[in-house]
Amino acid sequence: MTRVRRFLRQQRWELIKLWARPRTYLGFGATLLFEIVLVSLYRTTGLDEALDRNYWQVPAQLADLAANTSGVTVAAHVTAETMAIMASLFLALVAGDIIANESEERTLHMIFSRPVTREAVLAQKVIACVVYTLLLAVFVGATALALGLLVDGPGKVVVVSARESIVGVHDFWPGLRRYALGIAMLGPSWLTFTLVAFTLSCWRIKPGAATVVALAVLLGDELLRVQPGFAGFAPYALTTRLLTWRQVFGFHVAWPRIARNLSQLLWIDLALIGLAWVTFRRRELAP
Amino acid sequence: MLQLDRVSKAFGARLALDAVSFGVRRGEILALLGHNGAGKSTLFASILGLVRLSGGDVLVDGVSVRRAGRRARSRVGSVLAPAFYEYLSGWDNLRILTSYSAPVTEAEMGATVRFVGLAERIDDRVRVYSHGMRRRLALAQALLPRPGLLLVDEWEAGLDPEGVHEMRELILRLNREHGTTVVVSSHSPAGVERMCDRLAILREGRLVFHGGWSDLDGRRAGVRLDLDDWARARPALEAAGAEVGSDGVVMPGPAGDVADLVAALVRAGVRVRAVEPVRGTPDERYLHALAAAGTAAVPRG
Repeated sequence: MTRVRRFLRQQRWELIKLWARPRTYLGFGATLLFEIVLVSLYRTTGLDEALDRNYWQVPAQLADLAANTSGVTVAAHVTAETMAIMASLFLALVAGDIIANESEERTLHMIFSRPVTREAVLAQKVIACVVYTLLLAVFVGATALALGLLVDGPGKVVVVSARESIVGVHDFWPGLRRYALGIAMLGPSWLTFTLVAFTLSCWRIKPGAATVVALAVLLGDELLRVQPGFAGFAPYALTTRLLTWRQVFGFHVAWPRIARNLSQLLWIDLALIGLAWVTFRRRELAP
Repeated sequence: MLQLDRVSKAFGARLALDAVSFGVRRGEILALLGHNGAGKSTLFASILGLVRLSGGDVLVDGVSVRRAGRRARSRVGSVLAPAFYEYLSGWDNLRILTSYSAPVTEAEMGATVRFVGLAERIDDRVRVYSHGMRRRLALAQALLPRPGLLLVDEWEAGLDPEGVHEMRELILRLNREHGTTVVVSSHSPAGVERMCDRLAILREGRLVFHGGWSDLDGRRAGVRLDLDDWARARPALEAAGAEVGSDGVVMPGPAGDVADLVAALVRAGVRVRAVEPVRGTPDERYLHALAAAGTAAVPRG
């Protein structure tokens, strides 16, 4: 059996292990439930009121448009909220658990008693995290769109955020295309957060601690980003880059900005994987 | 089959293994004895490359664990504290763990599962397994693919007497039928006496004995004497350096043997009616070896 075939066989079992655990698929159920709650809230309070209470600032001249929101507009907001609040929790849970839990349960000892390299196991775990992140992001985007269209139907797509310098009003089909493009960027962007939790999981740490620390990093970063007193921090914030996907809704898409942010995230991803590798290969599995 | 060459392992300032050297011959069963914390599990972890050696090297079939860990481990099966994916079946656990080694056919897996006596429950989730069943599953995964060297850590841990008996029989069958070299660790000498050819004893990370049971007996072999006059015999025996017990058991001194004692008794005019060799229990011999380690050199085979 070639090394590649063996690696793929191990990868397949890594994914089976991942999907056999309830918290993995509960993430999908929880995000869907959260989206339903959000859409219901938008229906009962009106999206513009909800937006006013949140960080989405609707300029007065766009208020009429925002009041006549379409399903895609709702989906764009619901996706952002769901990723930040609910999906991030499950990404941290899954990635923070993926090695720390195996270490705690000592199944890692069973694996490394066999003729396998640590690099191979690390790569399989990273791939499992990537697959989970991308699938969850696509799921959140697709279900938010389905719910939005179900409730509000097609129409104008309005996305406005003063903090991110986004003003965008689009017809339905162009808006839908931009939404699809944004969802395609959503998973790769959030992968960086997943890898923060994953890297923590490689340390000698309890699985719960890896999850909590990763979420604390995200929360701290977001709080600093939105605090007026720390306005200078916003350009450097991780969350600024995690929100890159929304840039596609601007009248004029800031491609250089998107490319810069995504490439920065990619470098952070590589640095995190490198740090995880250094940590993991040096780690001793004490008897 | 297995050669340890001055294996040392330190965890911070604590030396868990201190220049441990011994070999295990192909096809033998060796017991690794020692109290809790003596370094048995650390030694297994060192052989398996789970911890980095602070010094020395381990050779498995001539392959260095330090230089070619993966290749060395391909010859080793290990039964550590059972740890499985509880939410999956025993069969799936076997498939996962065997995916990290050379290919194993379903037929081989089935035969191994039958060998360890787990065929009827192999499709159940591990969550519902008893401890004994987990030990069997751990043994099954260690045998897939068939290893040249099998390491069994705390082989009787958590098993009831019936389970201990069955596990011992499985290990003996493996050794007899497949010629598998086995190293079992234990802190109970009595449990391994009937199973192992030789033993190695660790104390605080140091090897204090390595050899056969008879070598260990040599340290503690005494005789029960049937004499006509113990009052005359006692001073004669003590003068010959022997230790006289209250139960008629006499231990020869470090420099003497039984023949010297009998000669001393005859010279003292004592009639020796019978001389019966007395062996201590395995526990006694083991404890004696441990105690002697601090004061005297012990045989190393």
